[in-house]
Amino acid sequence: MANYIIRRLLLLIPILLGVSLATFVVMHAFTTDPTEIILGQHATAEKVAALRIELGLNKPIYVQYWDYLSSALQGDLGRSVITKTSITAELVKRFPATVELSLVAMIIASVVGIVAGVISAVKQNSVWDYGTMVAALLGVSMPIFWLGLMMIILFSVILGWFPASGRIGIGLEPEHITGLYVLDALMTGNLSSFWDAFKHLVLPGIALGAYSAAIIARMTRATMLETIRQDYIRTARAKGLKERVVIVKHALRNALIPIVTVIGLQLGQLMAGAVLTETVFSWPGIGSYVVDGIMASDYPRVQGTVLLIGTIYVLANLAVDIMYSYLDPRIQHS
Amino acid sequence: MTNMDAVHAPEVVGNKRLSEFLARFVKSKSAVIGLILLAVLVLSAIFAPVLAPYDPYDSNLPNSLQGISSSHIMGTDELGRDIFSRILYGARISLLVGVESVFLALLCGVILGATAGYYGGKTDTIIMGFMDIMMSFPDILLAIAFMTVLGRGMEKAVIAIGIVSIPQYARIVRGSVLSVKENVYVMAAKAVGNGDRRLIFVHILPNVLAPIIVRATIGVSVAILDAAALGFLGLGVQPPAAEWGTMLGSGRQTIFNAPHVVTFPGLAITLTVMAFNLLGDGLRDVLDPRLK
Repeated sequence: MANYIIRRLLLLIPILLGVSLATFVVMHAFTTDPTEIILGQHATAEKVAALRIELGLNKPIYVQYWDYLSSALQGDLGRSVITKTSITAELVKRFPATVELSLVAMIIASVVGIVAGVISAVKQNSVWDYGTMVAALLGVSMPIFWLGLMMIILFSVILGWFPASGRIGIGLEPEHITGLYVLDALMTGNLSSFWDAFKHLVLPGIALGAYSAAIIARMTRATMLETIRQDYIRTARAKGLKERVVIVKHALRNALIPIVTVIGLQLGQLMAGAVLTETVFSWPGIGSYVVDGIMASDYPRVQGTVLLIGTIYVLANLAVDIMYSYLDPRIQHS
Repeated sequence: MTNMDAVHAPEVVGNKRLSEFLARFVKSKSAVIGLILLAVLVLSAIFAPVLAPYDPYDSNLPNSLQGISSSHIMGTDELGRDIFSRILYGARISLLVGVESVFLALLCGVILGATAGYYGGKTDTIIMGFMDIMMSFPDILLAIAFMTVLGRGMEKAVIAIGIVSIPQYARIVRGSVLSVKENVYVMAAKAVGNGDRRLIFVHILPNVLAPIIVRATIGVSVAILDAAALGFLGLGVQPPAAEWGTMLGSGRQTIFNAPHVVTFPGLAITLTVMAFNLLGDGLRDVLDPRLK
């Protein structure tokens, strides 16, 4: 097991190098010259040349990559060509917003997905089962940004229950501890901030979590259907255990391994979904940061964010693999 | 067995297989519903010029943001264009983008996956290493990155979505090739002197088609969703084209006073994606019950 983890961690090095090289190459084939974005089309040749030196664009491409990589390893992802601000600082500032949104989406997706999946399996071929499966089909077929827009129309515009955009009302930001507003507000006992931050999280959380909820529900149903047909479940029932105990303690616990894997794999998917959800709800996270960067042709910004999301995605998948083998000792690693 | 029997035997077997497939297909509710939905969509795309009551590009500003009425069953958009007509024409774009990008991904994925699985060793390590790196990014994020580089437009969206989907097909094909390449019939074909290319394309690939077809069908739905997302972000098909995602993106501005503008294009995307998902799920049950 320890060997397996060490080997997987070592394998991370070439993969992360590949990820950084891929983002670098893709971004450097960028159609718009960054000097043109900064200076405009009518700049003098001298000014352009000076800026190329300043940005390091006069160096051979492999030197540029090396410079980029060594700075990135030291936590410096360069500066935005538009705002001139440090990309790392901006990402650090925005990251908690994305983490908070993704966590809420994950909680919603796991709870709704597992509960719906279990009910569906236990009451197979009932109205509940069909209803859940139709809802799950809708969940995987709906574009999340459209679901977001529909919820804004219903719950913000028509009913006025939840705010349509942003993370918290002006002046209500809680004292910075973790950067997760709901948590910070709770820790400081600031209930008005907590309530406001919570209300801002509901719609984007559901929009982002819906797809994963559908996937988790489908997976839970499938594994539960397999598990409840096993002999030990019949034995548990024969012992006279209550149906709820049989389902939750005996069946669900054993069905959890594949479900946990799917939940883990959805983590990376949430980072991608955040790009769209944050755009719809003007959520100030890294997803909206990258989209704004694209619109402004701000390539270091896009490069830095894509690198960060790629790295998180790789790490999340690795964590799932390791957890999977930990949860199921039958899995052998040669 | 007479010569005549020998000539007809493969055809008889083929017909039997086909009838078995059809019998199982019509029994699968999701496959049938998916196919019917898809047929309706394809027909509305083909006959859009006949079915559409208005020109989808004909703007009429005084008539903008009209609600649902008998003359405009889905209302009009911010430029006064008939939304129903635009949705019918939009079916052409979405279906084309979906199918074309899956075709591109399939073509590259099959070649790369088959090569990696068949030759193994360093070839496998290099190809799959590259695929692993591509899979280190969420699909849509990678597609966005490619669009930033390639520029905007429908063909570019097809290329970007196609490229990011390659690893999924390469993985499936590689896995399947690995599982069948040691089979006796492949060994026999090799022993009688068939070249590598013939072995891969004539003897191995036809036997691993089931998972590829299933993945490609579901892949079209993912491609349509990705294309819509690119359109929504303003990176995909450009206005005034009647692409559903682009329609959602521009309708976003009027969401507070004319919510119908974003309602119908989203419904169209959902229905289309659902059709491919249902068909894919059904095909999986029919073609390869083990994949369930």
